[in-house]
Amino acid sequence: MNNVIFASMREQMCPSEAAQAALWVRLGEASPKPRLPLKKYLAVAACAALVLGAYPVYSAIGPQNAPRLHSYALVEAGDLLTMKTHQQETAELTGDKGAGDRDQTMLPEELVEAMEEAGFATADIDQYQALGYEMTWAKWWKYIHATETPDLESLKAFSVQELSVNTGVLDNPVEDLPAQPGVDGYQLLMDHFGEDLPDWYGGAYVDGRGTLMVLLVESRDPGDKSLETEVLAAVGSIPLGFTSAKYSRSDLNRMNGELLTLLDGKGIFATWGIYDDQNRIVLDVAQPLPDDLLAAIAEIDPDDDAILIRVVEGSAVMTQELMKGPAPIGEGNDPLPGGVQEAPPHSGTVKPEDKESPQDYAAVPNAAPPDDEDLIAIEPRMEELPEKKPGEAVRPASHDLGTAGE
Amino acid sequence: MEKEPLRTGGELEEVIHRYKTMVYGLALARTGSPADADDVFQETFLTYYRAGKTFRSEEHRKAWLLRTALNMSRRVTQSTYRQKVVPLEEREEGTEAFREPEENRVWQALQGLEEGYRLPLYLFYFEELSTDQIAKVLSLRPGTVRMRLSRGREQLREVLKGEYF
Repeated sequence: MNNVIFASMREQMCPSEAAQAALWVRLGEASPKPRLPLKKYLAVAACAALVLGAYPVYSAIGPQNAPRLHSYALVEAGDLLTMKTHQQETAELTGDKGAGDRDQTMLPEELVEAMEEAGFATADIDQYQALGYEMTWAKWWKYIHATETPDLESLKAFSVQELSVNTGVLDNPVEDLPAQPGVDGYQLLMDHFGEDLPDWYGGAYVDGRGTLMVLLVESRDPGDKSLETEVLAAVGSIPLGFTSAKYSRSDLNRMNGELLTLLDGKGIFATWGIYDDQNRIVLDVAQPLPDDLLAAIAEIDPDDDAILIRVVEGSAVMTQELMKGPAPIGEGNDPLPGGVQEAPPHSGTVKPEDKESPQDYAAVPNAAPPDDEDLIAIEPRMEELPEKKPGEAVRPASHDLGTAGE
Repeated sequence: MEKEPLRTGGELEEVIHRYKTMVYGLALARTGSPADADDVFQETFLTYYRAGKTFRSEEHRKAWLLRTALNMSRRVTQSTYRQKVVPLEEREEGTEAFREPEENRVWQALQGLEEGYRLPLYLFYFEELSTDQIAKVLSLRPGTVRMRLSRGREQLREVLKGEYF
């Protein structure tokens, strides 16, 4: 090897002066490629991938793809009238009493506690409770906020205006009211509407003081009192009140029909009806509904507030067959003495054609049947009753006398 | 964005000064043409400047420059125009690239070898790279490099009558 000759040759391997000069000219014209720090680039790319990829992934596996189920409330059979929905129970647990979307009747002990906190004397509390007003949480807070110094007289005055009474003594007892003027007004209103209910009509009911309360759909109320004027013209001088509602009676009728179609033939033990005073349908079932039915009901009631599903534990909720009305009197269906059909304890049924009455009683437990269907008035068919109880033997009268003589 | 003027005495000038002979020599060995080697020299350092790369060590910088010079040389020799047209004066100039006759004789002998033998021999004897470094630059296995060095040396000995190699 000859490293000297290689080193000499290497020294001569030099680019020409022209090439070197041209390189510097071109370097002066060129600009270096802007460099992005690798870590920053990766961080930005990761964030972008997260943002772009998270939503499709969430859409693909998120819970919104699962069918939305309608809510329901668990209630005990004896607690239906003071039912607590899940929402209300949550409000209670969080201390937000009475702040829920729906008002809740105060229990007696809750009323006592609230009055004590407001500074009422024990005697005043007892006196107020004896009046029997059904105080609700919303009304209570309304009174508290409106009154600087709560006392018995102001509370009684407030109760007279705002509350209804279920038992007890009225301050101003109503004597000899005309025969159900609210019901008459309801009939006049129905006659005015005819078969097609207007979309602004949310229903009507007669409250505890006999006033016909008419619900106006809030979203369809022009606000110029034209609807109120039309109702007033239809019912005349009958005591009338107005309140706003979300759903029209036509909407509720439609949902009611869809519920019937949905539950028909499913073997579900259920009763339901339209509650005009609540502007919703109340559906009572004996067992929790399966998810597919809850999903179907959720489609009928997308906002989850037009249908209240109550799972009534420990009660005999009627079947669809029983909702059709009392069984006909005939062969094999003889009524028991007294004329009362054998029926479940909570059998307050009405015929399907009665659903357009001011208040549907189909799902109201312990509700009394209408007067025109009072089966007690039917004469018992005594001729078909056996003369003796089965197994009863004819005993000589002397046997009884002998025994008595002993 | 406003261009920053290149300053003499900076890092780039130092890198060019240090490696211009290496880049140019490899390009000359690969192309056989001083003009093409000049082009490869310019393109290689222009690419180096534009890339703005940072290297962990001088070994990495040297290896990157060798690889780039090799790729640029291949691009020049593979162009259709370059394959068909080679000026006569350039060929004449290429044959008398060195001052001493024996240097030109050795260079011509080296140029007479196939590329597969020529480049390993150039990198081994002129750039004094190890067989492992040559293998990395040429993307060959070290055993292949050693085999080609051995066979290339045999061919050169035959051409140069046993001198130098």
